[in-house]
Formats: sequence, C-alpha cells, structure tokens
Amino acid sequence: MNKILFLAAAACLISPAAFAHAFLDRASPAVGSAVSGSPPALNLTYTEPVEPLFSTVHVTDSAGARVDQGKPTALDDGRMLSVKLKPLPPGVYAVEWHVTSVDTHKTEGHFTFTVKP
Amino acid sequence: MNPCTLLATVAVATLALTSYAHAHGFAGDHMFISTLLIDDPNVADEASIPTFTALAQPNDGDGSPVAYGLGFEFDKRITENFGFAIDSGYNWLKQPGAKTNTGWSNLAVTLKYKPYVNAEHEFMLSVGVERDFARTGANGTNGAVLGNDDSSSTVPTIYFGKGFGDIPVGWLRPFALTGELGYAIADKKLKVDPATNTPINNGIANAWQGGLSLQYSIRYLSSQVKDYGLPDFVNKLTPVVELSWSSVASQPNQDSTQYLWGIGVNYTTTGWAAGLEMLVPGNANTGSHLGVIAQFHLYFDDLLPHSLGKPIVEWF
Repeated sequence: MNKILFLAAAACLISPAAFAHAFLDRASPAVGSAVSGSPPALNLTYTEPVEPLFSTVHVTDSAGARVDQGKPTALDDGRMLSVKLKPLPPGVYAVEWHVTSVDTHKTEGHFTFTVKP
Repeated sequence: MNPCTLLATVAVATLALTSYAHAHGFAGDHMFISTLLIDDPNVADEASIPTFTALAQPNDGDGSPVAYGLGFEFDKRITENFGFAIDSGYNWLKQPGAKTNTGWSNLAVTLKYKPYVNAEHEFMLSVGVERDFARTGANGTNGAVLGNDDSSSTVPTIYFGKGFGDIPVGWLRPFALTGELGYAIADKKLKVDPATNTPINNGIANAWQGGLSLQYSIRYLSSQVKDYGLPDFVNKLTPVVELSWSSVASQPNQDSTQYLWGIGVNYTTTGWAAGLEMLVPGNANTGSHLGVIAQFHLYFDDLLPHSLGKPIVEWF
C-alpha cells in the first residue's frame, strides 16, 4: 500500500500540467442576450474541462425561484456543462455558476439573459 | 479495484481537490491582473521574467540619461495565503558623452499575507513587509549613479483589489481598482551638513511609496455582462492605467516626489500573461520623455499545478 501511495503522490507532484483555470468561453443563451422562446437548456462552454461533480449551475427567475432542472451534465470532454431548464415565461433570468477544473482550480461567475415576450 | 488502490486513489483525489482555491488573483468573479508598476494584491506562485523598462531620466543640463532595466521577480506561496517574493534586476544607464553605468539592483525580499477576500464584493486585502538589502547589487559610486540605496530599508505595505462587479451598471462592472501603500523605514538615516545641505553619511530618508491601477477586463465583460462575440484574442485583453508614486517622509532628505504613469494593455491567458505600457513621467523629477515597460509573466499554479504551482506546505 505504501508503494501505491508513493507512486500516486509522485505522479501527482511531477505530472505536467494539462489543464488550468476554467474560464467561461461562451454560453447558450449567450451572456446578456435576449432570446425568443423558452430555451430547453443552458449550455456553458469553458476554456478547460471541468468536474461536474464539483460544479454547480443555478438559474433563477426575477423572484429568485430556481428554474433549472437536475444536475449539470458534462459534454464535449468536460468542456461544456449543460443543465435543463423548466419552461421559461418572458423575463430576466440570472445564472450563477461555480466550477472546478480537472486540475482542481475553482472559478465562478454570474450573468443574466432575457426571454423576450 | 482492490481496497489498497481504492484508498490510495481516494487519498490523492481528496488531497488534490482540497489543495487549490484561487491561486490566480480572484476575488469572486473578478481576476486582478499582474500589474507592471505596482504589486498586485494576490499571493501566488508566479514569476516575471523579465520586466523590461526604458525611461529617460530628468535632464541634468547635458542631455537626458536613459535608464534601461531587466527586472526579475519570483513569487512563491508557503501556505495558501502566505508567501514570499524575491526581486532584483540588471540596469544600464546611458549618459550623453559618458561611459554607460551598469550593474544589479539591490535585492528585495517581500513577505506577504492575504487575510481577507470578499467574493461577493470582489474585494481582496493583503499585507506585507518588503526588505531592501543594501549593497547586494551595484554599490559605491556606480551603485549611487544607478539609484541603488546604500542603506537597507524595511517597507510595511498594504495591498488591496476591488472589482466593480456590484455596481448596477453593466459596462462599469468589468472595472477594477488595485493599489498599494507602503512606508519605507531606513536602517541608517540621512545626515547632512547644515551649512551646505550636503550629505555627510550614506543614509537615506524614510519615504512613502505606493500606487494605483485601474483595469478593465474584456473577459469579464464577455463572460459576466454581455457577450458581444469578440474574438478570443480580444477577450484576453485588459486595458490598464497605473500610477506609482514615492515621496520623502522625513527630514533631512535629498530626494523628491516622483509620479510615474503607465498606460497600456495586458494579455492574460491561464498560464502566462504579457503586459506592455507606455511610461509617462508625472513630473520633471521623474523623467524627461516617454518611456516603455514590458513584462512576460508566468502563472505556475496553472503551468505546474502539482509541484511549483502549489504551496510549499503541500509538497510533503
């Protein structure tokens, strides 16, 4: 067991960096955009792969009620988080995300989008 | 998977996932860039190799000497929020009609602690103590010409960073203000001949020193406020204006108040950054013409996250 622990720790120390802080590259609906009709899902694309188990995406309406459904799922080799949305009536919606990239760096962000009447 | 392997995997995964928070200069949604004229408020694993500076010095009547410098700085975290920095550099002073003076700057070591980060209000506060070691660079007449002090000094300093993300005006939210304020306490105080006001020892006066930077993060604009579909290259830019300042704080003294502006742009990726600024002397005591400063900066927390990029206490 000591040998396994040693090898695991050594690999952790000397392995070259493959990934880094995950910045939000783009979103759909886009950051600050106004869309026609209720989007079925919110997709967030990051500059680096993220760990869905250690990442959260919350979408709330103007009253603060959650309109996202279920946990985010990872797509595109972990670079995209997708969360399903309830049917959204016209209004402004706030997105709050916290992600942990695969090398454990944490980043977060907020933005809004609008569903047009 | 056998129990030993499972235990080892869980142990390493737990260690890894609890190691890092925001080694870059994050306060909530905002990341403070690495500034060129002043120190940023974050404690991080990073290096500036090098920082190139060229600035014409005050005109002494025989033309303006031009000072060139190649600065080097290495920052290392000891714990998550406590670290040290070492910086020095090599300098050239070209004087009209005279030989060029060259030599190393005095070595400076800074201990820095980041006790407070307010993510909601994008605020960061740090405190530090810088120690400038006299005679570790060029000394004697050559050192004096290059601007190296002949007395060591200690500089307690406070640093801050504040993002404007809580302002309810979208286009203002990508702004951030960072700053530092320090008081340099000389080991040996300057003494002068009262009759002639000329120095009679190699001491220096105490001094205030500090600065501010105003930054505008295009990445923040695109990812937090409104995505205008800008090219990826543009999203990595942060226009910045910096002001550094120093002023004597004790009598007698031989120095004068100096202001230096830096106006430019920073290109920041996850692993490295490059900054380029035009230097504008704020008064005649600071310089006689425009200058330039450029820096290449490495973020070890992203480049080497499992070794040099994590705090020393987590190496063992």
